[in-house]
Amino acid sequence: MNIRTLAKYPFLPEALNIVRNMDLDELLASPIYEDAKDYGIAKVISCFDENARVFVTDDETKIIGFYISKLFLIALDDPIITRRFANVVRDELEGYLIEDSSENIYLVASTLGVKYKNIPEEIIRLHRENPKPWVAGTKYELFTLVHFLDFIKYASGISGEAFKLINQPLKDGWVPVSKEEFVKILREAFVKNFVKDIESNANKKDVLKKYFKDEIEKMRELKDEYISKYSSQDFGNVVEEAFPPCLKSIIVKLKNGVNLPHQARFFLVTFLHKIGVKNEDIMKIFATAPDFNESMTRYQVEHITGGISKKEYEVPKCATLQAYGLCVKDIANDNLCKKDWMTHPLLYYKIKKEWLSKQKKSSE
Amino acid sequence: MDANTAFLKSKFREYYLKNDIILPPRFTKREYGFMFFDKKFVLRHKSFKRSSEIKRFLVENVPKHAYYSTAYYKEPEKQDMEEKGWLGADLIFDLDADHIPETEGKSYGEMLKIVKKEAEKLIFDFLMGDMGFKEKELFIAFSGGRGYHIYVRNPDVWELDSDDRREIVNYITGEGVDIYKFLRIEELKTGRKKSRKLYYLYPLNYGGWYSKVHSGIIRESKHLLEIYNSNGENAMIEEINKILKDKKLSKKLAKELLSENKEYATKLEHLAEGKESQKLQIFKNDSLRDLFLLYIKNKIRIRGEVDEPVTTDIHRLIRLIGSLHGKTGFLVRPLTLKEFKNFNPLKDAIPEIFKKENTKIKIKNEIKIEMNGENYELQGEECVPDYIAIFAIARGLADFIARC
Repeated sequence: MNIRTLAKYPFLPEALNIVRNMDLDELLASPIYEDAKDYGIAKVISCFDENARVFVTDDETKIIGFYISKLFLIALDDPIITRRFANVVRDELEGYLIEDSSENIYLVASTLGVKYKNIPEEIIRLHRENPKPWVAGTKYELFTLVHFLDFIKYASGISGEAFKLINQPLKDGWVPVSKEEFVKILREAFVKNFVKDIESNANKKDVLKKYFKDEIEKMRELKDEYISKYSSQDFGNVVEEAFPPCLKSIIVKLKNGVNLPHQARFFLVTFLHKIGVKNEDIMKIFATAPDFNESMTRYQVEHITGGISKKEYEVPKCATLQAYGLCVKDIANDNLCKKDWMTHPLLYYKIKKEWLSKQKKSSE
Repeated sequence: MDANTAFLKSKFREYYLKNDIILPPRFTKREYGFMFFDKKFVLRHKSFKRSSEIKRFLVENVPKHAYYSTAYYKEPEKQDMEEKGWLGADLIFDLDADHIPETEGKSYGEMLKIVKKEAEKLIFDFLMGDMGFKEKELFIAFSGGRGYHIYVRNPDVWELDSDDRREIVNYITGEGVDIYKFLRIEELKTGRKKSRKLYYLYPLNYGGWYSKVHSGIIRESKHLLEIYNSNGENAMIEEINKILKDKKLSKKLAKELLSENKEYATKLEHLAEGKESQKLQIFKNDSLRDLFLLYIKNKIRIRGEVDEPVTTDIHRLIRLIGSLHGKTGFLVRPLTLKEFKNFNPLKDAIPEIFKKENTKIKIKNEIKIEMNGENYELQGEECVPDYIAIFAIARGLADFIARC
């Protein structure tokens, strides 16, 4: 494979050969690969800040850069950042693959461990004469057979009827798919493999951290900024169970009539507002406070949520809550709080909520 | 401990002394759980390093029910799921009479027959059929209670997550799926503003539910035709009603299916024999066709009874193979495909050791059951083989009196 193509698929073993024998000091601390390092780091940062993008034209730099992105992600050890990066690369990958030759598509499939099989001519004909309901009348051509276990492993994350197993003409364990469908499956396979690869290298993070000191700091800040920009639509319906322990403890104190410091009230209001609780309902929680004064509270709530001041305050991040003495991580003994990458109460809520709904689904 | 419990416990101990359970692959990575005769709590998060340890545990503690996890873990003894370190899980289907509406009010024996039919469908039509699993990748066990456990132990399924497994469950149960999705529909203009829908069956070699609907129509029509030919219209209505559970509708559908059709004696015969893909057009109206397709769908699918949580819960505990079921005294028995075909739980799941001695019991009401190939009609005080005594006492149908 030529280097131009390898630069499109820098995760292929052949591309990795370029970096295989390089030592970390040479790669990350010497000026020889400075361009690649800048490119690799910028590629991660630009997932959260578009302005950070760096353009390079040299294919070798791109390949080495991708490898450095990986090392940076291992050092960051943050699933949110890893996933976001994987998704950005995923979309690029889909674009490349759809334009590429069958040979290269199959090569990528093999590398990603997706089982496929040549599709016999008579099956293609059978489908041409009897198209699946949702492709009838469209230009649809079968491309290959995918093993159904890989199909569900990777397609269960893609929405739409076309990727539900029950709608597939499943036979002897194989699902016939078009080129577009196959490429979508490969793109999802890339994400799963990539995330797994980063996670399984977590033991190398301490060695790598020292090469990325400043960048790690910067990345964390960018991520928090990004999370605090979530809109209430990103959170869906309100699930109290998923509240972080610090917030739960504030609500309990309020219900027990404990007087709360200003920062705790501020946190409570910004958080509840952000996840979509209406001001009226926020007021109700405050109604149990010992010094509850309706007009005063209303003014404060509306001020903080942007109703009066036109400035919507941001939800404080974990570090801020710690500084205020509102973090209960040490007494709550909560697994999610203990994570290195848990830096924001909204992030906690989002992840816990997804987790609870998964759990609920599997026990229904 | 009352006399009943003491009796069951001593019998179970005897069994565990003389028999070995069958360890699952990678048994040291699994979590084990137990329930006991004389304790209320469930013991979970046990792990064993050697097979001799399990044996000793069973003999010393004599559990009423014994389970192991379908998942395996880095540290199975840890309480916290996250600390356990999930490594993967077998794919498992739990078919239980509890979840099949048809078994309601049926005797234990009849119930088990109905469940077995569903298990056959799951194994041959779905797992080995559409999904292409090989016999050697499947592992079948009688649950000791009212059903079967069917495992897929192929490394490729280990890492499937809950969502992936749910896709498989949806495929085999067809839950909530509109069967018209598997028909090719064409609109035919019949007038300036009028049109008629034509329904075509997909080819038999097309795959998936598309072919299942087609082959299901042929198979079930033939089946109904056989019933009609040998036992008459009422028997056929009965058969339809098992699924539709509405006498009036079943009658209506039977009447339609038995009505005349051009080249065929009946529409049913047309559906069973006709080769053309547009034969669904023969129905008098849409609602009769809907009704027929609803019947077919329920004949094809595994009826909602693959206990979905069991398949999708990747931390689930399931009965240990070779252990005893505390509510029947039956063996959780592994079965090869060949054994499964001829398996009669009321005979073949009785542990040999329970066939050797007799026990006197006092029957509360009356018991009618066929076990070990013999028909028992019991009441009052009777001296019976141990397996009957254990079954009756464990189910609360009788009290222990003495050995005899």
